[in-house]
Amino acid sequence: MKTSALISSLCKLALAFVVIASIPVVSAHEPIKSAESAELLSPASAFKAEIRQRDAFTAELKIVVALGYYLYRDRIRTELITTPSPQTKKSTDKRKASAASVSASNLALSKPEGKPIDDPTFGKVDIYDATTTMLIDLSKLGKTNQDIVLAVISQGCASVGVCFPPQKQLFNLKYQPNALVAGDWVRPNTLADSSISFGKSGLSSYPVNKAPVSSPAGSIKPQ
Amino acid sequence: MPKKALIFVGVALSVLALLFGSAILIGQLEKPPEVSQTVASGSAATPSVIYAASIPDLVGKPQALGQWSQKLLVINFWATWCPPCLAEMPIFVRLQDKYAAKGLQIVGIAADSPANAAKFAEKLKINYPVLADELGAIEFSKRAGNRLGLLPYTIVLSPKGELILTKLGVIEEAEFAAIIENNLPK
Repeated sequence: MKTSALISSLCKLALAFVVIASIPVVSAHEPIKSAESAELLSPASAFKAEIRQRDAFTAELKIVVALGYYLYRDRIRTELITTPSPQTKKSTDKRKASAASVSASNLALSKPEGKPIDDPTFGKVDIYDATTTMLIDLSKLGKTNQDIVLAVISQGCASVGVCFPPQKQLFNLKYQPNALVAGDWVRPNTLADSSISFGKSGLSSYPVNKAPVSSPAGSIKPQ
Repeated sequence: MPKKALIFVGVALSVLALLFGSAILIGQLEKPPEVSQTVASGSAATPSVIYAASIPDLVGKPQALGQWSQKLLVINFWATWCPPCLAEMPIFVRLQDKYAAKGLQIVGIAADSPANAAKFAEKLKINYPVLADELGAIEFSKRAGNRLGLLPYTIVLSPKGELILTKLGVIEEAEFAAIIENNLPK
């Protein structure tokens, strides 16, 4: 072999070594990626929910569960949110109206079987760790077309060992019991979409690192 | 360039590259697994925010976190709907038992109703103060550096009021005990 070819081969070998050595080393004995080293999703991204009216008195809720996340089957429920008409609001004090007039009533939800897991604390529980659809009974709304607000309350965890607080997502839906075809899929309202707090209305959320000076709940007070 | 000089340059370059590559590889192998978050200055987790807070205990009496400012203070945010939280709580019980006399104070803050928190505190034989705020605990944890508001979340504050670490996810007992040992009051 010529000297120049030998030098060229040496340089290529050394370069390859540098490249290989630079590849991150994954420790074989590390059983699970720690929560903080993982790129965790927000609950709205981990559990993407959509609703559409399926037929006369039924809406369909679809939740796309991201890989590595799961929802507890028995912690998913739906509510019909009722607000007073604008005329009623005008006649009352605005603050009182916003605090007391919004009401929620449970809606029957037909859920598919979940995947059973043996939880060390709760025993056998069912989870959803993939896309799932369930049916919401809207028959109590009657036969009149109307704009409605549905709330979906759910709670889940990431398999790296952290859990999300219960989240409440709101959906504006056009209820059309006489329509002949299924409605369009509706995504949650932007405001509720980012909510992962326990706020009284389920809507209180704060941008990261821009938390309020005092707690919205009012029970944790700076001294 | 003479042939000898060319050989010398080639060999020197190769040796340098090998040394550089080896240094990177050794650095990676020796890097400890990432298990806790070191809090940089300017982080959202500031001790003053934590010490200034007052949270009701399980009978509704407000408890100022500042009362434990002279201790090595471990604050663990948990909830009864969070299985990993419940799974790690026996570790805190053992640590409190072992290091309480040496200046450790663990405090649990439940994002739950006092009744729910009390039920589990009794079941798990919790030997440290448990506070509960169903509506405010998660927001408070965010102000204490818990960016996404996930649980479990644990903070360690030194007896001098310095933030030692924040930890999202379940703690590892031996590693956490070492942190406790290293930061107990002198």
